[in-house]
Amino acid sequence: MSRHPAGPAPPTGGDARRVGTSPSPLLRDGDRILVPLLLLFALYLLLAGHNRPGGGFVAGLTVASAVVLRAQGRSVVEALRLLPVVPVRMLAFGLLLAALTAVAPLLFGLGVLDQPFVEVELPVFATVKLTSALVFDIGVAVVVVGVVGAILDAFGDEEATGAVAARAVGEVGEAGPGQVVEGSPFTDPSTRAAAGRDEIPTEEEGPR
Amino acid sequence: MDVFIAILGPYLLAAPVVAALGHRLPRTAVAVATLPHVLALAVLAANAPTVLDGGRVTAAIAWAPSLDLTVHLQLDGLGLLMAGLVAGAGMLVVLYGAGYTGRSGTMGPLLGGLVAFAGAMQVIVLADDLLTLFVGWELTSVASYGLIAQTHHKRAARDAARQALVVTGAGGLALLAGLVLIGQATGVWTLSGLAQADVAGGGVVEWGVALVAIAAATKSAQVPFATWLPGAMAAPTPVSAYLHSATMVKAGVFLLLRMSPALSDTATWTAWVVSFGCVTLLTAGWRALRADDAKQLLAWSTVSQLGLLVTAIGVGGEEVMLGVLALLVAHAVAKAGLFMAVGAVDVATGTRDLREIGGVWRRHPALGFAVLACGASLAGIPPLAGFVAKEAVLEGLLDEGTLGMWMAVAVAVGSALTVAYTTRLLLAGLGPVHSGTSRPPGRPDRPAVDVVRWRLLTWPATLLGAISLLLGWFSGLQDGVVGAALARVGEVTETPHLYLWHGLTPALGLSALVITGGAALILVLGRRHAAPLWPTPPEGTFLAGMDGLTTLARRLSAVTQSGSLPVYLATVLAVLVVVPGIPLIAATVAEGSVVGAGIEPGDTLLVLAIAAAAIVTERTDHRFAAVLAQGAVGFGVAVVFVRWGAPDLALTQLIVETLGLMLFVLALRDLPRRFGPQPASLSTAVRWIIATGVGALMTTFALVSYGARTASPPAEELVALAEPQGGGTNVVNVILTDIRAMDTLGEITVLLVAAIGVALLVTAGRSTEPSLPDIATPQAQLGAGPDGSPDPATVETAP
Repeated sequence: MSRHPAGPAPPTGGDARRVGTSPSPLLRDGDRILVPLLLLFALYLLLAGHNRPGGGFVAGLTVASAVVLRAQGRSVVEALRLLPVVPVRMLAFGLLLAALTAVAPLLFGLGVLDQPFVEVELPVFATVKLTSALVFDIGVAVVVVGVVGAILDAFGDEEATGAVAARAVGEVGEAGPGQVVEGSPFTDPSTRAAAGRDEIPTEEEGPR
Repeated sequence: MDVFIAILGPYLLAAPVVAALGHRLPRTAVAVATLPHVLALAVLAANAPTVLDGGRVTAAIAWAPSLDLTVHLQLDGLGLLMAGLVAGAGMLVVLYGAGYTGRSGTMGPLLGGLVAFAGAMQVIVLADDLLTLFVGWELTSVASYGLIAQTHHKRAARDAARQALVVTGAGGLALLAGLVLIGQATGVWTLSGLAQADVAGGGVVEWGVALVAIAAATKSAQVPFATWLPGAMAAPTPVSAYLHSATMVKAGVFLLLRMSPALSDTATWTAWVVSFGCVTLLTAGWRALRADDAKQLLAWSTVSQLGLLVTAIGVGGEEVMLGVLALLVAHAVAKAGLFMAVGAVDVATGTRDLREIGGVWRRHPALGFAVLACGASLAGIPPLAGFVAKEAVLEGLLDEGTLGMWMAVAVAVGSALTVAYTTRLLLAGLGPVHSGTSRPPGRPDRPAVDVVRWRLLTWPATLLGAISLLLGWFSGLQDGVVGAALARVGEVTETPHLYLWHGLTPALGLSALVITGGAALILVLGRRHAAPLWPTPPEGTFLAGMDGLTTLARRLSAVTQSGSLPVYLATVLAVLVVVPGIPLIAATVAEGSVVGAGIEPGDTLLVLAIAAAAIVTERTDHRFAAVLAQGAVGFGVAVVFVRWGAPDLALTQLIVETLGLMLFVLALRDLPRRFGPQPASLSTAVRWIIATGVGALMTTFALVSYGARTASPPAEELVALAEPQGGGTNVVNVILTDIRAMDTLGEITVLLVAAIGVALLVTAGRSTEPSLPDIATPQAQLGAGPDGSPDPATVETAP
């Protein structure tokens, strides 16, 4: 499952200055029904996209909105547990899938990105068309989910987001030129804490 | 075709396997890592008879026939030589790397990276068409970046990797530009075709040649692009032994060799190539004398030897080229061996500082032999391979007229420097530690590394030393392969033969002078610390240049990147209004042609609703209400899409708007409920003017473009194609995933990059170090600082 450690639930209600989410029972429990429905709908959009309105982009967006919905009702960390892997891996996997679909036809003597399709007779369901464009679409959907997941992951830290947002609207003061980044969401959560230090001790690294 | 799949395929397949297995099954990982090299050598051996007879094995893959794009691969004499070098050195480096990392978790990524890099390198040497060469070139830059940054928790490694990537990446850009120029000018896009074409000089081709020369200079670390190589010594020693001595840095030399039959007649070629090479040869050689860290010494030595090769290629000539090819091999063997030995010394004594490794060769005689043989080969001392090769180069140069003569002198001076610093390396390991330093004499060895690891660390180096000796003594062994390579680089008028004893020739006299000169130099400067302490001119200007560039960049950023979002937006929008907008509006007003679309009463209501929501967004001072109203605008647009029959667009718009709303809300959590007073960066009047301008522009543009179509819409053709060729009835989706799938692939790549960018920008707000990212100060990479004390970043840097 997801690599994120279990985090504490965000503070509820409280500060009168805060705008936006305080987890209401509606969001918290309603998402238990809505999220599976959204995921199912996303699957439909993905599969039906080639012949009816839908497609990879929309399917990915729907999954993403399920994740964001859960983030509203519970917490970002729990929401990201909906995804099988860390968002960055999804990004990479999706792009890899799409790229492989692009290159694979070369092995069969076709040109790049030729999308062949076959009609298959299923005994009960009648003829079904299978196209390689579906694999490409899956890749696109995974990338879109990864994008929103990554953004959500980055925004998940309340303190940072608030600080960044405050600076951007001039509440706190003008932002300086780009700041150096030592830690990043792409490393282990444990190394996030170590961000800014020059060296992180490792067990055995061989000769120095 | 099978030949190339057999060579290249295993590299591609093995790399991820090795990286994954390294921790759990180290022995299997090592075996899998050596497999591609062994297979490659076997395939090369099988095809050697054909190639040595002057034949070529070729293959072509038409991967985008509608665009006339084909990948051409070839295995010829030069390719055989280089591929053999890559595979042979690679095999030894894998074993060495296993010994170097031991059972730590770093073995997998290191060996996997080395295998991946080797695959990319093989693509370069087997490429026949210009674009494949470029792709391999860039892949090696990326692989090198990944390998240098192996110890990525150390700042020095990260900075070095970044610098290497920037320099070689810029060179890659130059290469692309140069190759495209040459391809366009000559109409020939294959290397073999270029070699046979009569390339007329002048104009565009000269630019192309210059760019190719620059690209080769960046890859082969020629001055002024040299400093990335010493910096790259932050990488683990196996990486240095493979990439930065034997293979990757030879790619630039290889490029020049491939291009020389076609381009060497142009004026730019000789001027540029010889200049790069000559300056590098001398300055880097001098710089190597100053190094106290053994790896830095070897790095500058590599730079200098590459300069020698480049100089010789620039002069050209049959005998010279013979020497160049022999030197290519001899240097790779010797340098790799030296790096491996130094790494083993590092493991044994815990230091690479030349002033502290006294007595090491006595304690480890195998290493001592390796360093003696490889070092002597590097210095060009008979009867080793390096001598044979350099002798051939010198003889050839002396036959090439005035330019050749002067270059022979330069090569001689450079070789004298080589003798000097090689002797220093040798002497450093003999005898007790010089009592001049304050360090304790004769550092004791570390607790013993286990026998197997030690063997893996020392045997490859010893083997390479033996090979240096062998190729020198039986120099005729190389004739076949080197001769076949020579045939691909220029005309061959006499049977190529490398021999140890040429007779009493001027070249021999020159070599004798070189050896005595180098020995004298080292005697004069003393064993302890070599050269005077002023920085050599190219280095000084490079440093000054980098500093100046950084200062300029900071000043420019302070002005243009004020950090004020309203200012950025205003600038963008103002330009948008002024540049296309005003002419458009003026033309429309003048002509008076505005076509109305078929608007119905229901639409007016919709437009009014959207306008009302927009007005509310602007007027309200409650943050959350503003966001909601803005969302309402978006939903209104979705309704417009539905109204005009675009269900996919409407779906996407709806979901994107919802997502945007929810993310906005996340960002608003910590802000006050109401908008505060507006920052003073822009007055309200200015905002009104720009806003009105943008509104007017958009309206005019929409109205005008509606009636402006003259050609037939592509939609009809696409709709006709969708079902039979794409297999789907949703034309939009078929276009996205099939007809224009290449665009979609590009788009999701952009999405990926954007996501990473956003994530990094947001987490930058968390950083505890509010400082500009520093370009790694080149000082840190140059070994000794100006006052002679060893820079801890290099002496104690990660292996």
